[in-house]
Amino acid sequence: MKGQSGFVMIFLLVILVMFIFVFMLSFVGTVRNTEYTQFYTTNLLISIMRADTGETDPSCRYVADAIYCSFISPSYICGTTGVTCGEIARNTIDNYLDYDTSIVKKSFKHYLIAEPEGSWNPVYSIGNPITFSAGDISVMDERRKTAANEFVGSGLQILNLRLFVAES
Amino acid sequence: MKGQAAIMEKIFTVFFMVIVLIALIIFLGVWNVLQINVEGQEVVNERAMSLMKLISTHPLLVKEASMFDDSKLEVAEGMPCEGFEKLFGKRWYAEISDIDGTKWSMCILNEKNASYDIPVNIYHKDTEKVTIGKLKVGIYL
Repeated sequence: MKGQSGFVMIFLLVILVMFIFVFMLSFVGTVRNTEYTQFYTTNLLISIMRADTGETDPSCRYVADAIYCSFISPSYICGTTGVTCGEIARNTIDNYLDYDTSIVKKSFKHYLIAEPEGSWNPVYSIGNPITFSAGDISVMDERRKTAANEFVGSGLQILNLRLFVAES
Repeated sequence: MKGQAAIMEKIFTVFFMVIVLIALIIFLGVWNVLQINVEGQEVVNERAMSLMKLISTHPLLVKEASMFDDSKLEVAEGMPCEGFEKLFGKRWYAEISDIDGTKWSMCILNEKNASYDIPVNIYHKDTEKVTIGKLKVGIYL
């Protein structure tokens, strides 16, 4: 009986030590550079918005202009391209968010969404609101994600551009 | 017989306790080394991040924050590394690459390093176009 209780004590001690090991190990290697992820997200959003689309038409020269134009005048044909501002913006953003261009990191997934601010409600037709998004929507289901936002537009017609980044 | 069993039991108990103590000492040693490595990594991370922010906003290289000017990059690329030491310190490198593959680099050495990269813009002075690219900043270890 005495021997059994001795072994039980040792067993409990081993369990306790293992628990301490696991507990202490959980603190090692948990260096998450959230500052970097935030900087990356903000810079990616700003860089995409400020980039040229390749068009000289002022309504769609920069990506931010093209997105804004797609809400203000959804049927406007951009320059001599024969395509709308929305299509120009989407093609450019899809190209930049493509892992093959090596601008974005393969260890992250990205989702960009543009939404009207306040009471502004641009529509294609009644009951058919204009929307714009690009990237991987599954980012929104991630518990840990980083966000950055920018406003474009003026007066009461302001767009809130938000970029979400999560580890893939 | 009963006495021998009691002695054996004591020996086993002491043996197991010694094993546990040795394991604990080894673990604490390893844990300490890992912690030192992590702290070292944090120091490198912090320096790389500060350097990245400094380079991406320094008027010597950019037109505006995170928008590099290609004409300034051409000049900077031709400068010796010592010329940047007063501004950015020692043992670092930076590489700015455009989406079309054009690259400008400063202080590149073939040494072990830790690096970060972020998306940036590149302003092309000749065409007045803004393209997207990448800034990579590394610290030599």
